[in-house]
Amino acid sequence: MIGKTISFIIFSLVCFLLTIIQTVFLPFFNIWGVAPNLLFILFFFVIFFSNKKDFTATFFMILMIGFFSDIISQSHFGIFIGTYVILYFLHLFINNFLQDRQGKNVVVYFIGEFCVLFLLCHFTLNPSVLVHLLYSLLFALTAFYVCQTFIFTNHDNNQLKLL
Amino acid sequence: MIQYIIASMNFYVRKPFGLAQGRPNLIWQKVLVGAGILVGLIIFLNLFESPVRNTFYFISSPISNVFFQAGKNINQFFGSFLTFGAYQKENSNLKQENKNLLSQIAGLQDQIKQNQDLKSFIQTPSQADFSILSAETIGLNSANDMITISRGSKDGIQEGMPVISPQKVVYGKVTKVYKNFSEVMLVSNVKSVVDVKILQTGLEKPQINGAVKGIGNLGAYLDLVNSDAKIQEHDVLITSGLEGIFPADLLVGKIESASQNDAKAFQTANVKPFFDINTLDNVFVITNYKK
Repeated sequence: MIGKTISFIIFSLVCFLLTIIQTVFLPFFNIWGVAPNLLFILFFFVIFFSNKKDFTATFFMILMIGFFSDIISQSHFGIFIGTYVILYFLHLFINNFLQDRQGKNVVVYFIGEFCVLFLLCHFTLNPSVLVHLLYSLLFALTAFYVCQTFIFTNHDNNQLKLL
Repeated sequence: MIQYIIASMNFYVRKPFGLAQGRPNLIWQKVLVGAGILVGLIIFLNLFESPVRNTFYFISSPISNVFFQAGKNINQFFGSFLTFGAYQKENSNLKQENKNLLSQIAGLQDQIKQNQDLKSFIQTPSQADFSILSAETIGLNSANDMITISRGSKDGIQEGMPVISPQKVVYGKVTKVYKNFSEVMLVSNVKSVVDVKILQTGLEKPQINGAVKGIGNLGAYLDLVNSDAKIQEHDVLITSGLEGIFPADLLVGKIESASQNDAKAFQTANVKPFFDINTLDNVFVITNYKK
């Protein structure tokens, strides 16, 4: 229980730090006015690699990411919390079809689902959103390979097993 | 779909959802309690939106400053590396000087015009007509074209106050005020509209008015320009002061490319805003501008 609480606190601090990096650091490296969406990348990692048996922990993490996304969105609270919860349920739905077809091409599923959820999260499809998507995907893929190499090498609970 | 989702959540279901086996009541109880907590949380956050955001900015501002400076320095380092250092610095200085000169020209043009035509009593507020308050930029949200500054209601900031640079370049206006911080909507924000006029070099030329509207991602365009008006590339846009939010003669941007369509009543043009996010550390809020 204490271990779980500490991990929640650490996760909250990570969200806090990523929020700051996203709002004050990355805009200096924008491409056509867009910077990578770190919080969305974190959200996607949480749902993609989360342990299905620990629904409460996953849900908490999604709420936390949604909360920080709402803070920097300058809109009312709840927009991103709600969006991320809906996207999580959508992910669970998609996962029911994909889990039987997992294989060595997990990166293809990763990219495909990332693109779909990103576009749904941003509601619109225009050139700047596509640039935003590609820029974020670049960061996500880098993180994906880092995780695959160093963190999830023997992880059995991945939603799509990294074979 | 709900069947799949609930099965994926690993609730205590022995049989697929929908059958009156296992503990379906427990599932619905959990779903309802979860939804209730979620809605309650969102309502709570919206009720205390201002203090929550103010607290976040308060806690994050020291760390934000570090990252802001780091981002700026790294960007400048790589920028100067890529563009051969000295040239970029020189270019930056020239840009700064150019903005200052444009600002002076804008002021002089109006003074000459007033002298020549005493009958026209359109008041053009000078610098003395408003006072300014300096503020630090502590957040920059390029996705929403917003910045956060380190002044709030306790410093006398109010919604709608214009925010400018030391070179009198318009950044935008204050849209939300917290106790210690404020959010500023940049002119490139999709909701932003600023009344402008084209800076004319010849006195005999008629004044051309329009509106600069944001398109997001730090971009903007000029709209509502009469179809018979002559606008061209590199024309400088300054505030007209007509809408009463921004004082006149503040620098807004430069026309990048103009497009005239006979089918439309107004001309439009792409605008490159003068504000630069790389020189955003200090801004000025105009606190007492009177229309």
